Amino acid sequence: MESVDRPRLDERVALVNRLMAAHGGRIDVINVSDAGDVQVRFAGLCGGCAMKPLTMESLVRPALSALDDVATVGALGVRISEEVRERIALPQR
Amino acid sequence: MIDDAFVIDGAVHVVDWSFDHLSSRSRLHDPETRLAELELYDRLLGGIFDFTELEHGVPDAMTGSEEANYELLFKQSPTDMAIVGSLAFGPSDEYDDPDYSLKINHRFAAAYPDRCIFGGGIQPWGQDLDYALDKIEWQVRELGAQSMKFYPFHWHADDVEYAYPLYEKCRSLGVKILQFHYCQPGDTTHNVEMQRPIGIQAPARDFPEMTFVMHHPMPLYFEETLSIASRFPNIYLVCSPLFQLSLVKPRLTQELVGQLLQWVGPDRLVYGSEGAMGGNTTRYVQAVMDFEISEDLRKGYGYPEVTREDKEKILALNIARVFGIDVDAKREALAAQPSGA
Repeated sequence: MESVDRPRLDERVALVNRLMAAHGGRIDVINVSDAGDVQVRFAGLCGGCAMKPLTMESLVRPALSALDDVATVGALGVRISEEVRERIALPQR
Repeated sequence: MIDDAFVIDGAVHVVDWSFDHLSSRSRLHDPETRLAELELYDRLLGGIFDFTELEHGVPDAMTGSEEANYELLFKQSPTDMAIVGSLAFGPSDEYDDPDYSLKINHRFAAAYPDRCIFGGGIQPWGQDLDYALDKIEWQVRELGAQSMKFYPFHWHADDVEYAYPLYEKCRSLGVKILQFHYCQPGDTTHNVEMQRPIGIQAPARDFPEMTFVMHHPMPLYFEETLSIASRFPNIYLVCSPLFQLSLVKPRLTQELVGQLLQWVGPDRLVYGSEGAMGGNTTRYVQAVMDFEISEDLRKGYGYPEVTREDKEKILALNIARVFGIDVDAKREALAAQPSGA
C-alpha cells in the first residue's frame, strides 16, 4: 500500500503545474514507491529544457517535499551531483 | 541595477499569482486548496506575501498579481526593465481562455509601462494562416506588442508559403523584431530536428531590415547557432538559460560563452532570466556579473576575457538598442521615482 496520500500529492502537482504552465510546461508523476519516493518527468515545453535542474531545485523538489509523507523527489533526466544540487537549491526559510 | 550596471531582462514570462479568472473546473475555488497554493508561494518566493493574517482568504499583497510580479522582478532583484511576453498555450485546467498567458503578460506590461515592453507570441501550427495573421494583428493593435515571438515546432521559419506571410504581416504593422524559440525541443510530441535553427537564415537574409532574435543558444545545435549568428548581423541571441546554466555546469558555460564572444562578439548577446516562475532572479543577474572564463580555457582555446563592458552590453545595452530604449534617460527617470517604486 502506498504510504503517500496520492490525492494530496496530485493536488500539489497540479498547483506546481499551474506555475509551470507559464512556460508551457508541467511535471507528470510516473512512480510513487511504498517508501514515499516520488519520481516525476518534465513534460510539455519543459521536456527538453536545459533549465530543468534549476526548476527542479527551485520549484518541484521544494513543493513536493513539503508534503510530510513524501520521502524523496526525483525526476527522469535530471540527475546532477550533490555538490551542484546544494549550490542551486532554494534557500531554506 | 547591479554594481551600477543597468539590467534589462530579455525573457520574462510573468505568472498569475492571483485567483482571478479561474475556470469552473479549477480546484483553486476550494479554500483548502487555495491555502495550500498560498503556502507554496510563501515557500518559493521568500515571504513576498504576508501570511500572518491569512484565514482561507487572500492577503492584500496577493489581490494584485501585477504588484506581486513587480515586487519579484524589480524590487527583490536588481532588474530595471523587462521584455515581457508569452504564448497562447490554449485552455488549461485552471483557465478557459486560450489566450490567458498572453493576457497576463500584457496586463503586467501595461501596468508598468516605464519598466516593461510587451512582446507577443504565436505558435500557428494546427491553425490556418488567417488565424495566425489575425492573432498577430490583435496582439500588435490591441495589446501593443513591439515584437513577435515564434515557436517553430512542426513548421519551418523559412517556409515561404506559411511563415513569410507572418513576417510580412509584422512588418506591415510596424513590428520589426522577430523572436524565435530554438534548440530546446519539448517532450515526446516534438522531434529534435524541429528545433534546428537553420530555418532562420533565409528570412534573416530576405528581411534584412528586420531584427531576428534567437532564444536559447544551447549545446543542442550550438555549432550551427554559432555559425548562423556570426554571419548574419541582424541576428541577436538571448542567452537564456545559458548564464543560469553556469550555476549547474560552469565549465561548459565558459566554453559556450567563450565561443559566442569569440565568433559572434559581445554586441548581439542578451541576458534573459525566463522569470518569474522560479521566484527571485537575482542569482541569474549575479551569474552574469560574476562570469569569468578560466585562464586555461583562454590560453588553450583563445577565448577572450569577459570584460565589464561585455557584461554591460549583455545585461542591457544590446537589447536596449534593439528596442530603442535610451538607457541613460531610463536610468535617470527610474532614479527619480519615489523610493520603493
